[in-house]
Amino acid sequence: MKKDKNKDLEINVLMLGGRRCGKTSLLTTIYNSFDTTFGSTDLTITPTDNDTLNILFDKNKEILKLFENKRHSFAIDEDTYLSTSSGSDNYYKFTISIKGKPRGKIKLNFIDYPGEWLGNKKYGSFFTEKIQQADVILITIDTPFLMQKSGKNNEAKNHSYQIAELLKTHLEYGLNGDNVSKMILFVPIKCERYYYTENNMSKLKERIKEVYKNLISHINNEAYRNKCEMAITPVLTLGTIEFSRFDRTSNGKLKTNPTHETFIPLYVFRDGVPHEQQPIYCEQPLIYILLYLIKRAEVARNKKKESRFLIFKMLKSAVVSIEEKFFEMPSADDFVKQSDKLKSRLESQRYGYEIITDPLKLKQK
Amino acid sequence: MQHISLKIDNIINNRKENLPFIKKTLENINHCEKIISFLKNTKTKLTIHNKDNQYLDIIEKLDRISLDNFYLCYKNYEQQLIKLQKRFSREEIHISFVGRAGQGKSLVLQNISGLNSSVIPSAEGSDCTGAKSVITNIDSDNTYAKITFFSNIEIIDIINTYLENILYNQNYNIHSIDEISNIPIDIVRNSIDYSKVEESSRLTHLCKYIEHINEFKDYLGKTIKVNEYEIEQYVAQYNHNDTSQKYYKYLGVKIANIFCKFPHKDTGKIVLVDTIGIGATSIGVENSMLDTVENDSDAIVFMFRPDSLRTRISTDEIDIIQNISQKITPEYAKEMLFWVINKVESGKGENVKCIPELKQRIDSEKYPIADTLVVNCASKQEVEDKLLIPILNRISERINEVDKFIIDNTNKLAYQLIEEFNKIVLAINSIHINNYNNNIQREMNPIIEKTRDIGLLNNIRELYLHKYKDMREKSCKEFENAINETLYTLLTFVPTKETVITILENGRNNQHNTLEDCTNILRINIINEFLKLDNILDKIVISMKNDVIHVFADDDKGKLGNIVEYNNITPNQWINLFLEKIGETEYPLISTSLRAFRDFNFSVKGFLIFEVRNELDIIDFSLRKQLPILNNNLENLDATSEEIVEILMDNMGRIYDKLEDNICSFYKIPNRAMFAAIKDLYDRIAFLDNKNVQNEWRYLYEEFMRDIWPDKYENHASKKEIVDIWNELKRYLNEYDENLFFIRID
Repeated sequence: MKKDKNKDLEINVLMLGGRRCGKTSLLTTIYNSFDTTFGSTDLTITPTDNDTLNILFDKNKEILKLFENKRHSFAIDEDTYLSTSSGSDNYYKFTISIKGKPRGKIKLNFIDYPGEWLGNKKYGSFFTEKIQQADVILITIDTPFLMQKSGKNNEAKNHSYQIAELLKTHLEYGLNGDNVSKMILFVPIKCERYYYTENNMSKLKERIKEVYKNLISHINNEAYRNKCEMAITPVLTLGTIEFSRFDRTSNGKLKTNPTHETFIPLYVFRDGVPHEQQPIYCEQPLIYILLYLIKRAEVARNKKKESRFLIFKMLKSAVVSIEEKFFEMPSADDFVKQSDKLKSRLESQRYGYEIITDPLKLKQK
Repeated sequence: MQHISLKIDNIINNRKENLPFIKKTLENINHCEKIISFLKNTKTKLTIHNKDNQYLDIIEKLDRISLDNFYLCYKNYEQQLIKLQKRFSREEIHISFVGRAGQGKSLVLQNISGLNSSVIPSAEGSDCTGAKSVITNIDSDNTYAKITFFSNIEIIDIINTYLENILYNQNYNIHSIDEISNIPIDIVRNSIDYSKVEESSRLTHLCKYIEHINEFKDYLGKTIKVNEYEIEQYVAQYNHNDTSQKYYKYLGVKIANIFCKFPHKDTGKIVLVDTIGIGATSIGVENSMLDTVENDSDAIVFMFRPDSLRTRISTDEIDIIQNISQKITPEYAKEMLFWVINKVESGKGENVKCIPELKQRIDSEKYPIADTLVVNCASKQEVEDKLLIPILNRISERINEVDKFIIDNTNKLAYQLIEEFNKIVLAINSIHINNYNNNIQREMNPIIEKTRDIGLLNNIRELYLHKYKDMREKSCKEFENAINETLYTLLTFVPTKETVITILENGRNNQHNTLEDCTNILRINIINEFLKLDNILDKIVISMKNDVIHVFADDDKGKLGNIVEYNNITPNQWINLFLEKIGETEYPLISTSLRAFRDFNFSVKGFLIFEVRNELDIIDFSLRKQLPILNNNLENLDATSEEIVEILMDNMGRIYDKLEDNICSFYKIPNRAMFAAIKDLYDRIAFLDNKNVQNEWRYLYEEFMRDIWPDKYENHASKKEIVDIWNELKRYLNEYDENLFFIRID
């Protein structure tokens, strides 16, 4: 394949999730963690634009402020500085590149939207378009809402059913051809309590599979199984702060947020004493995304070698595929070379991790 | 003459010997009447028990059996036996004197009794005797009388009879003695015209009552004893010396019993019965005479004073003889009715000449009389010789025969009674009542088994199958709500900041002790609060037991409420009363089952408390690996107390969450326990001891069937009663000996 010296690869990541469930915090922590994890390797990550940089900066400041908390239990006010409630969609852009290779970068465009848009018919076409365009769909889950009170406040917070129905409806247009064309990641956040105190991440995993079972079984059928990579990738963005309980009135009734009818979660430091942020597994979503890209490209290249017909078909396609774009990058091979490193870091079985559908066989060589 | 009084004594004694036989016969026929009464009662009972018309046929047949003829014969016979009994009970021989007024009756009585006209009123040819007199020969020189007056009612009846016979259909009656003096005489008089002679005469008599009622009304209903000299004013209509002095007390006298010593020594125990002269215008005189003749006489003396100018016998005499003869039977009259011709030898009314012809005529006419005696009644000697002694002789010779004849005549009535009795027996024998099932248990068995199997056991089965079985998988809402209410209170146990400050300020505790003390109190409070749920569990248990006991007790189910009423008592109280009533040792399997059910209970301690306790580790510092770290100390009480409250509140919130999340698995437990209790009860009451418990139920229902099915039991009992009565009736009727109806004098 002929390489275009200036060509970067743009990847669209649609972030689905409830209002104020911690999407920005997640992005901030992913960014920080990836840098920490891969800082000593050839891979590097930077915010693509100033807006993203500013948001990340502010969010990080806000997160750090949490750890100065003197109260025993406290609420975490999510997305305070973000404009998701301003009424328009937002794009957070990151660039992953190979150190020393200024050309041929992977640009990750994270798309966020106001939570209120979910379920609103007016934004039906927005979601149709975004789902079709998205290479990766990242479903963030505010874990306490999923796990506590038998999940009775889960729908109000995480909109699991709505998101599942939305995906079931629009994925059809997004899964093109015979190749794998989407990755769906369930990213439960604020899992500290279940990871440390209860030591039961597999319960969390099962709970996700139960709540999203309609979506999972929809994708797991004959038609889509080989076109969609799907995994559960829990992250602990705070580490030392865990969910304690939902706030209650003095007569024991659960307090609710008056506008969204969601309970009000209260958090505590795990051992009762303030500690610094200790995020873990936050780099995993990015590892999954990168491996997905590399694997997808590799598989396509292998197929190309195996069958002319397939190449013919690819060439015929009006849209230039990611696989093609990937290999058009001058740094394509450098990225491919990182795949072993990425695979070695990939969590796929422990701590609530599971690759549910794996047509690309992410961990295989 | 000595022998006459002895003979009379013998007669009296002989008669008394017959009395027991008459009495026995009376008893026998009374018993017979009782049997017939029993038949009537049986009919009444059949009618009462004929709710389902099962006896209709029999009742109709019984209706067709007329008892009227039996009762007619029975009354007739009984009356005769009573008369006979009275006759044979007499202590004297009774001689009655009858005849028209002015025939010399009183003269004869004076001569026999030795009493003068001041006691026995007599006036030549006039109506002077006012009241019926009975003169008894006694062995004492003291002459006296017992005067018996009419009762008020009898006088009222007499007055009303007069009024009816004067005014006829004008329907004017009195109802009290006081009304007599108010009878409007003038109105009554004006209603009679001159053609009505009899009525006019009756009115004269009535006027006497009206005008003189006050002279005797105080005596009415009484019997008084008076001496010889007073007798006249009670029995005569006027003074025998001064006819202008009238007496009226006789109007109220029913009978004057005069006791005196008869001059003739060998008279013996005789009683002379004077009757009011026939032909007197007083009402009822003849009937009264005939009644005396029939019931109070051994011999009857008919007094007749012929008129020398008219020697033929008038219709009046013939009528009297015939009436008497009919009353006492001609055969009796032939023996004991004496026609006395009063021979007046001189003076006014002399009739000597006409007597022979008259006597011959009487003798030739074959009147039903014993003898015709011609007697100068004014002569004491003649009265004795020609009247008293012949009559006493006749009596002493013939009275036994007469008595026998009377007995025979009475016995003839027995045949009529037997005939009527036998007709009834025959009719009754043709009626059959179906026999009843002697064994009520056997008859009730299907009902008992149905009640036990369907009413009791199957309904308990239905209860656990259709209500409690499905409930096992559902939350017990009452319990769930109660638990939620309990949870709501939990956070209120967290002490306020002020309370914590107070604890901190007392100086004994540092901030860590204070926090721990608070957790210790919290644990106790939480457990106490959950223990209160036992009240709800108690209610749930009672409600379930109530369902069950209703199946036991309700009339459309187990019916056992008829043994012990299930009303205003708890299920356990009902079980206790029931066990007490049936006797626990009598029904060991049932008792065991019910006791187990009664004792069933469950509490939160059994299944919930330890689960709650399990969630309290967070507020139990003895179990925590790491104790909460407090950022403040006693130097800043306000901040420390706030921090303590915050920690406690957070811990309690977490406990709350855990309890709320986990406790829902207990919501079903009460329902499961209820099901278990009922199912266990069912297994016991249906299957215990190889199903022998079912036999116990049968015995129990049998024992208490009277309480449980009172109507059916009563119906069966009444059926049994009817059949028993019917059989008894038949036995009485068929076993009754005809010979018992007769007077059998040995």
